[in-house]
Amino acid sequence: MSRASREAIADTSFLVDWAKYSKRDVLLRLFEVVHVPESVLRELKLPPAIDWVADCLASDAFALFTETSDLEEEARRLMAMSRGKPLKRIDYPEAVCLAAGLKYGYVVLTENGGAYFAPRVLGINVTVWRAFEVIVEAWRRGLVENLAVELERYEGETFHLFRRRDWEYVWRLTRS
Amino acid sequence: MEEVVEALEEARRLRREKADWEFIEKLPPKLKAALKYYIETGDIYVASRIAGLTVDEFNELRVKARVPSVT
Repeated sequence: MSRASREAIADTSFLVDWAKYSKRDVLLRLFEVVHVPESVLRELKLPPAIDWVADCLASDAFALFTETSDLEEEARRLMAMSRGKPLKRIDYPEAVCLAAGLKYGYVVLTENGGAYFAPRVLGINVTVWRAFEVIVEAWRRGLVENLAVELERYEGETFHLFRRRDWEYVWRLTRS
Repeated sequence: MEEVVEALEEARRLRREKADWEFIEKLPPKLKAALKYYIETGDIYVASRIAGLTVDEFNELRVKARVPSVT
């Protein structure tokens, strides 16, 4: 990853599941800092997500991201672009993350389908990762041992399922 | 684009299949409507707005209703 992509920005859909994962702190070893927009923080009320995010903000592993008016404008432009496309439209919190990813080169962490497929569908130059890509990257860097076991652990602990195509990718990756 | 549509369809199918429909049908109207919206779209933000909950509160409801998160 380039230096710019050593920073990430996370939306609520990513954080609420990721915070339940027993190896959630691998995220802190992949990125120098993870930005959390104020609009995302407002959606967190319950443990474990709110406790983990507060701890990470206290240790400077996370940073509070305050939306500026130009970024809000870009977010609304992306939302408008997503309307009428054959995928779920992007809502404001994900759009803010995508706009920040575009402007600052952050990796966008999300579990929102509209945001995940936005680079392909909207043709925007931003890197978007789900928990799947985060765990694969952690495995590539030797931060987790067995990729398939780790993905299964994530599924079990968060009640998040990976798609068939994701599993096929894992089999190809771990066989080679 | 075909891959995107296929992915969204597979995610929807998994949410429909795994959901605890008996639990969902017994919920108050707002929560039931929100979960049904989530099952069809996978959009947790709008679903939480329908339910009148924060996203993390809605996520707890999702787990109780055995609706998987799939992206």
